[in-house]
Amino acid sequence: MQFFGGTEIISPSPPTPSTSVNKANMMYIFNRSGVCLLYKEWNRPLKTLNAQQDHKLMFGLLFSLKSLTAKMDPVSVDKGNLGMPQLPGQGCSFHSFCTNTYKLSFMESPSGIKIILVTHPKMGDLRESLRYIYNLYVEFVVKNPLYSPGTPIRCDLFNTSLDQYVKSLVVA
Amino acid sequence: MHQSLIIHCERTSRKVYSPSDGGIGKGPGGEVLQFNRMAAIYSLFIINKSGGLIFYKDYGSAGRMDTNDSLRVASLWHSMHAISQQLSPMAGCTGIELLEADTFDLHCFQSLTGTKFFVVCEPGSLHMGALLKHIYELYTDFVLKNPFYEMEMPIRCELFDLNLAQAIQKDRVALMGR
Repeated sequence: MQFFGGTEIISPSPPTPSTSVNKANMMYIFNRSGVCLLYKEWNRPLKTLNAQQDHKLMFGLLFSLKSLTAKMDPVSVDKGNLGMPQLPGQGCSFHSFCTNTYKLSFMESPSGIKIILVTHPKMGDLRESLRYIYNLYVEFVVKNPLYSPGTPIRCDLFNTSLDQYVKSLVVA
Repeated sequence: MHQSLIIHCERTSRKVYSPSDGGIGKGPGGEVLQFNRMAAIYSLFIINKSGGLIFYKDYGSAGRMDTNDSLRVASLWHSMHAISQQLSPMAGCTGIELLEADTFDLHCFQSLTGTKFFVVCEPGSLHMGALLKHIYELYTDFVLKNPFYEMEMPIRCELFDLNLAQAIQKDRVALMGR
């Protein structure tokens, strides 16, 4: 995986302002132990649960889907038992799923940081974008001396650059 | 990635080339070869409206799942499908239709009565939606119309098996894509 390189300079071109409507719905960042470090929403008309319950449900869904994909993996022979705890990067994971109303893209870093972006269902492959967001996280959050790991992210520079980048995503 | 292709190729001792776009491939001598689409599908599951597995067929995935595991996987998928509806940012969500994993794609189709059909196939396989609808058609024709079939119970219908095997065959998938 490319995102191992820590000194990598953020490479993708700066976001170009687009005139189309915002296609991103919401975004979550979880750490290894399931604490929601960041939750942002741009367009979410339907809310069924309160924020905390919603984050728990999302983390639970990802956790279970990961153990499902690890068990279902048709390529590897030794898959272990269903629900066996797995380290980040171990076993077959997934990178996105689509429903008729949204598309969820998922990335997990080697340190167990999970980045989830919920977008319009017609959105293309967002693996590169999530990696870019991970780079933003490394640059502006991890390298921020005032940030203590495991606490909700409150870094202005990260928030603004993230907002700007996500708003630049358009349906391919 | 094309491991199962190779396995299948050896089993049937047919010339199989694996262009990821499927359909027809060119051999080394330039001759046109049929790409065996059967290998593109790893397994098929059918689950009833309460999440019980009523049909499971494996088409050559590595490390076969045993019966207990397939039952667990099926009910786990049923719950994940339901939770994904809860988390939708918009109203009217009907659950996961496509799950893209590192080594496979999972396409799911839910009928109006809540029966879910899902196939595990190679990443980027096309026309799986059409195949699932066709399998649903076979299910209605050969399972639901079978007077000896009890609703929500495991499927044991010879005609269904027979027609399903035909449907999974390469030509059918290739034809439906056109």
